[in-house]
Formats: sequence, structure tokens, C-alpha cells
Amino acid sequence: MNLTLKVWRQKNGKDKGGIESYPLSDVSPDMSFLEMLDVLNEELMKKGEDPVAFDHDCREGICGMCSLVINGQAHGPERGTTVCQLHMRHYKDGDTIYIEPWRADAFPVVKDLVVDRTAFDNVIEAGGFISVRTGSAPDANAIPIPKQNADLAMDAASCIGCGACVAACPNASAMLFVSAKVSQLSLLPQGQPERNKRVLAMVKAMDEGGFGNCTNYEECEGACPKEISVSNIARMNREYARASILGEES
Amino acid sequence: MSLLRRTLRSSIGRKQIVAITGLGLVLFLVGHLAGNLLLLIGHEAFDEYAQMLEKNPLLIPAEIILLSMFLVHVGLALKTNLENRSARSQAYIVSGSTGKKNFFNSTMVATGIITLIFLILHLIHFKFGERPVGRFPDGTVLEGSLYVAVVLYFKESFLAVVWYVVAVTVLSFHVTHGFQSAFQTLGIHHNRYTPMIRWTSIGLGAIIAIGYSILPLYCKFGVELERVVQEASK
Repeated sequence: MNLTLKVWRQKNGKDKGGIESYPLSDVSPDMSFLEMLDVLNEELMKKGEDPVAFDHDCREGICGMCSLVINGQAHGPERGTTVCQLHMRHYKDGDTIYIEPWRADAFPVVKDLVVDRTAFDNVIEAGGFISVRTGSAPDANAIPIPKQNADLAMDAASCIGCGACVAACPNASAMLFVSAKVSQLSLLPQGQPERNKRVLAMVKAMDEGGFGNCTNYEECEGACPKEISVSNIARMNREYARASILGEES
Repeated sequence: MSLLRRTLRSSIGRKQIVAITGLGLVLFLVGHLAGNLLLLIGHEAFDEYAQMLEKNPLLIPAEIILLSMFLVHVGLALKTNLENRSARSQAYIVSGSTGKKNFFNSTMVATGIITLIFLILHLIHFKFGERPVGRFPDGTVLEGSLYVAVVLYFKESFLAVVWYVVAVTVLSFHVTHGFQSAFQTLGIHHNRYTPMIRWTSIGLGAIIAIGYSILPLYCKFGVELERVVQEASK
């Protein structure tokens, strides 16, 4: 199929940037979206032009590196899918596709479609860990955990930190990401000793990151490639209120 | 750091205050509607209720609490909104939605501002406005009656009726998203109860829109009353 790609090009963080139009022919419907971009880049390089910079790593939908807004949708039109797992069979001959980077002041553009997601790392550094010595992997069922808590923690832990929630949120809020990380640890026994301190520190880091505030649009849940539920946001709100009232130590 | 300072500094803390004050204001809206519906019973019931409130020594403290809740709600919501606007200084060229965004949750600021304008005019008209003298068809004359003031206000202006119906409908949109959103912000989310809260939110919106719209329409079309112009008293 033949496509017209409208790609955001920006030399660096200081460059103003703009949309460039690239016609691309003979695209196979079996290609993934990123493979289609690889083909475009090969063509650009053959012509001696600068290839389009975009983030990617595993191409299996688990690393959280790919980060494209396609026709206004983070990770494209398919639900519960990262861009690398999106295939060109969802497009038809003659389509025009707009490709933009995640847009949030907390995620400044590095080049073209690549953004700097250090603000997420800062949130994790603030509390997304447990500081007890865990040793090697324990025997299964050595620590009894109710099934429903294990399931909820696992659902939250499936967050790959891609930032689609921020990209999709009309307020550029990071609440879904932060709440998934807070939930995962607050639901498990290993997370209890630092439960209050963690949520206060992570929310503080989130606020300092320059993200917007959640106003419950729930666009994040729709865009999340791991389909993380906004019930995690409610859990973080609850955890935050509890920690604010009880203080860090209790 | 003190609890209040930390709460006001954090995004979640601020929104939780917006949520609590919002729920308080919804409670007021329901109580205010229940009281105002006494208009439908008659001028004795409504004026008795109005005087009971006006004579109550706790009215002033209650009004101060209400006003502070309102100012805090508006102030913190606006601050939150300004931050949200600056969190994405470069907009998308193509903006899309996953279908979660809807009319109610994306118009909160607009519906809030219209409600604020409505409230100011509402207080000017009824709380601080004149109390004209009215005469019923049977010859009964009422002086200093809030009932007369309200009925004549709508009776004498079709525009006022339209504006009230539009304004309370806009307010009901605000409540439709705000009520359920407040529970989420306060961390109340449960597979069994959240759907109930969402339906309650829609129901509350409908009650507010219909309940408050009945009043101006009833005054305009359902009451026989005329203004008595007293030149002698001037």
C-alpha cells in the first residue's frame, strides 16, 4: 500500500520543529509500524537525508521504549497495544498518517520523535523500590499473599513506564504511571515498611516533574498499552490521604 | 511540614480539598432545592421557611462556611487548571481521544465559570434584591415577601426564566462529572460501588437540572400575581 507520512521533525531540544511530509510506497500490511518507519529511514539514508529518530528497543511490547502519537492517539488506534506491536494491516492504501512525539513539558523532545523521560526515572528514584534486603528469589508461597492482592499488584506491575498515559492525558498528568508503581508496592507485604513515605515522596517527585493534574478524564486508561486501570489512581489518592494524615513514619 | 501546608502544596492534596468542598456544595444544592420547592406549595410555606432561615442566628456562620467552601473550591480548581494548561505548552497537531473523554468531564472549567457568574447574579437578585409588594387575584396583598420577589422576578422577564433554566442545566453538567470525580479523587473506588456512584452522579445532575428549572417556569406560568406600585410610600 502507499501512504503519506506526516512526521514531526525537530533537530534538537532548541529547534522549533515542524511537520515534514514523506510519501512511502509498497508498504506491506504485515510490517509493524516501526518496521514501516525503518523502511522510510532506509530510503532517507539512501538519499543522504537525516533518518527520523524514534525510540524503540525490544519490539515485543514489553520494554516501554516506543513512544509515538499516531493521528492523535498514543501508541496508535489499537487498544492495549504498543506501537511496535501495531501492524500496518490496520491502515489502508492512500492513508495519511500523522506521527508526533509524546507532548508534555515534563518530556522535552530530544530529537524528532524521541523524548526525554527522565521525569519518570525521578519518580521511581523517589520511592519506587523497597530498601529491605530481599536476597535471592524466595520459595513460592513462602510469604502468604491473598490471591486478589497478588492479582492487583501484578496488574499494576505490568506498567512498562512508556508514558502513554502522560501523552494521552489532556492535562499531561502522570497519575496513572505513578499510581501503578505506588499500588504495586502498597499491595504487597514487602512494600509495607515504606508505604507512607513512598507515596508522599513519589507524589512530590511527580509534582516537581512538571506534569499536569488529574481531572479524571480517564484517557490514560484508554491509551495504556498494558490497560492499567484508573482504580490505581483512586488507590494512590487513598494512600496519599492516609499518609498525609498519619505522617511518614507510621 | 504541617498537614495543611503539605496538602496545599501537593497536586493530590489540592484536588482532595476541591473534592471535599465540591461535595459540600452539592449537599447545599440539594438542601437549597428542597427548601425552594416549597414555592410550589404556596406563599405561606415558602415565606415561613425563608423567615425561619433569616431569623436563625446560625445563618451567618453557615453562610460564611458556605462562602469559604465556595472560594476554596473555585480558587484551587483554577490553580489546578492553570497548571494543567502549562503542562503541555506545545499542543498536538492532530488531537485524538480514546473515547473516555466526554462532554461533561471536558467542560468543567466552562461550566464552573458560568455557574460562578450565575451565582453572583442570583445573590444580587434574591439575597440583596428589592422585595416588591404583590397582589393575588383574590385581593390578598403581601409585603416584604421573598415569595413575591421571586415570582415577580420571573413573571416580569422571560429572559430571566431562560437564563435560569440554562444556568441550572449548566450547573447540573458540572455536578454530573464533579460528584463522581470527587469520589475517585478521595480514593473511593470499588467494583461494586463505583458504578452506583456514577449513576447517582447522573441522577443528581438530572434532579438539579429539572428541580431548579421547574421553579422559574412555575413562577412564570403557574402563579397569578401582580406588582403593586406604591407611589405614596416613596
